[in-house]
Amino acid sequence: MTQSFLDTLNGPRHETALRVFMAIVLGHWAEHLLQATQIYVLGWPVPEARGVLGYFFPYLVTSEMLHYGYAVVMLIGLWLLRPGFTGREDRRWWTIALCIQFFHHIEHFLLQAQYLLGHNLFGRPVPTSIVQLWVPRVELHLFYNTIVFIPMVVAMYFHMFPPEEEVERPACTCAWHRPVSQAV
Amino acid sequence: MYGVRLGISAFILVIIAVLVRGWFWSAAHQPASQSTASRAVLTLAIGGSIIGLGALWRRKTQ
Repeated sequence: MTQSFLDTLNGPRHETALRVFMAIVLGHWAEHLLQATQIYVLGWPVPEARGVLGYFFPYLVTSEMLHYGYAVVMLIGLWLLRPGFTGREDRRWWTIALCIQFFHHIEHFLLQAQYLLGHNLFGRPVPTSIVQLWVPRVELHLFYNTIVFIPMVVAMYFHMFPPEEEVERPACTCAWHRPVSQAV
Repeated sequence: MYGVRLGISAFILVIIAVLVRGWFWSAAHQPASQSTASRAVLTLAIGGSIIGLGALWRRKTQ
């Protein structure tokens, strides 16, 4: 049953799944881009800048739930949808995104665990991840999300429009210019 | 194809603009050690974005 679910997800439903996944990723970006705008453009204090949902529901951010949720969903999505990337280029870029997101998720897991256990690491007054010991949180997560998103979106592009030299590979329904025999 | 590529590129340029803005904000508003770290990761993110743009536009696709 699990196998047939994965087969469907990476076969006839791959395009739909990628659209849903991209909508989630863009929702996550909306949070970070608005948070950055609140700080860098509007001059809000960093603790007050919580993005879109965090503005209306601060608990989602202070409990670490919102961004841990996004991190988990992105990790699962990158992992589940990877078999559908069967070309050389799209699979390579997607795998890079998956590896980086794995570490990004570890960082969020540490933050979430500190909140749930009520004990912060490193004697800090707020939940703190490893790299956050050196890099401020807002800039660190802008960095993480950028270096996950870039390979992910490049992979999606090569998945839709395979490089010229990859004409032999089977084409997913995501590919815009599939061979006629496979499009039927 | 060009429409998709332009759309993706436009979004990446928005991200780069925010990263650049953050780079200057960090220099002006954070203590020296934090600012250096912030600008280092933001510079890496900008570099990664440019690599992504290059990958999008360099290859001929079907």
